[in-house]
Amino acid sequence: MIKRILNTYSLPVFSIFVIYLWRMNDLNLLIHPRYHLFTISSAIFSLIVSSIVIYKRVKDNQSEITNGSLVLVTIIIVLISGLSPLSSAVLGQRNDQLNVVINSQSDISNNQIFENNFDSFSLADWNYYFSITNNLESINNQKVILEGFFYEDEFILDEYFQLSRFVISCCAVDARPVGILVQKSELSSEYGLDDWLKIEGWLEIRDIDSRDQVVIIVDELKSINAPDNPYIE
Amino acid sequence: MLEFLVSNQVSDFKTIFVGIIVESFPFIILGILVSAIFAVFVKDEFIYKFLPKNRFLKLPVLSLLGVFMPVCECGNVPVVRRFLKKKLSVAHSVTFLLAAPILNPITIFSTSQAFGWDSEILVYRILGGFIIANLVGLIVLITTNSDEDLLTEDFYKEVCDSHHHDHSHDKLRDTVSIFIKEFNEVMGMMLIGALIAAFTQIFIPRDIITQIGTNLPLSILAMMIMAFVVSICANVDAFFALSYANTFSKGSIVSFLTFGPMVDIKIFSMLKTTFKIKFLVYLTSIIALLSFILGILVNLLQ
Repeated sequence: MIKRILNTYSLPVFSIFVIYLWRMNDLNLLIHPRYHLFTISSAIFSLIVSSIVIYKRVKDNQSEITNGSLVLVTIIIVLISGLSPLSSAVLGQRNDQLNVVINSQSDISNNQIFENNFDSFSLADWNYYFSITNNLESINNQKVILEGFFYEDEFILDEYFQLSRFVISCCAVDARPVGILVQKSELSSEYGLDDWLKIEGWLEIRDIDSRDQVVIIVDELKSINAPDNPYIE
Repeated sequence: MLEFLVSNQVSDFKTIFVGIIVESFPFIILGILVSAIFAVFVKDEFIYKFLPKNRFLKLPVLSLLGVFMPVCECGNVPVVRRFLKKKLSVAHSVTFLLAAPILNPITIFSTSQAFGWDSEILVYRILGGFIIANLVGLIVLITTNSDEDLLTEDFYKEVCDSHHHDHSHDKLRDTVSIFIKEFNEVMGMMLIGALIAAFTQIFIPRDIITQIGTNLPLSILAMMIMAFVVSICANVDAFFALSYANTFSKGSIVSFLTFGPMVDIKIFSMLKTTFKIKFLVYLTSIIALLSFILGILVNLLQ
């Protein structure tokens, strides 16, 4: 009896779960927005199929009991404990991909660079710009306003932390970290790992570990909630 | 213990786990839909009319079917299960399963977006995927005697029974019945695969794999292990691979892009619904060996 109910209703329950994730803005934590329509359409289609299943009184008596119950257990755990954006645990794992440039994923245009229109630059845009510019010195003292989360590990010198975010192409599996070092100060002293921050400051080129690196010097810093869409698309 | 359960590691594990499932969901639904329609509305004879009679010539034709199936590897599992129920041999079904995720238009487009239309990697991926799928199909065709030995007992029973259920007066009922059954079978195993993939991504340090990027043969092996562990969808894996293009050899990137869509933790788990473990290990070993050789050849051509 339980087996039949679980297996018959696992599809509509999972479809409702996907729609729930979308309505709660949690889909942004899992997949790239370009896949939202495809995913939600599939969930709605599955609900239509499910309604036919119920109307026609189709019963799945053949599948293993574990399958329907696994779907249900997964949904219950997620509903109880909630979902959060990827954080320092994944960043630590994916440090080998830190600031790796993928040209197709920068929103900045040549015009913006040419006109020095840096106002709307994200962490990923700056990272792309650093990789293509021949003259890093030109952005010395450049004002920036950036959002990201606090990250530090044993490879980052004590006087800095890294303002970080993830860039995604498809889903959380392929998220790659980007980040810029920030000079620690009294303003940042009360914040720690995974705290989301909005920083206003200016860029400075420093010789760190025998190479030129960009550092943000903070003018203003405030704690913020993780954005609705925490990843850079 | 409680501290661990609310830690960032567990929270990120959950996000990746659910991310894999939700990302795969529409592809699975599309695959199941194709499978269900195929089961109810397409007669067995219809398939054989379009396939060459010669069992060796069937292999390349089936491998090219992926061009018309814009579905990633998860979506192809239900289609392959249907092929088998329509009495297509394991060797032929496997050829389709391995080639389709690579030779489908979305994968080709995304690879071109990541590496460029004129990139050698795109050409190597398409050719490599086509050749490996056909070689694996050929090896299975030659080296195995009976499909009964390769399929799980339960699934073999379903294959034998399927002919008795093919003709019904209520085709809509039949379609949704197959749809819901396939969903439970495939999604259940998908959850287990996603669970293992998410676990390895969070709790096994990735730098153990990537540190060997500088050694040419080992770098190929490293990227293949990465493909197996990460279980990323074939439609977007090129963007993931691109981020390793500066540190890893071209051969290892090509091996990643051919091996990953054919076998990974998620697919291995899903295929357990259909094939015996022994056969899956055999299949994985052949694919791994051929992908490795492909990587070596690409590196030698540079």
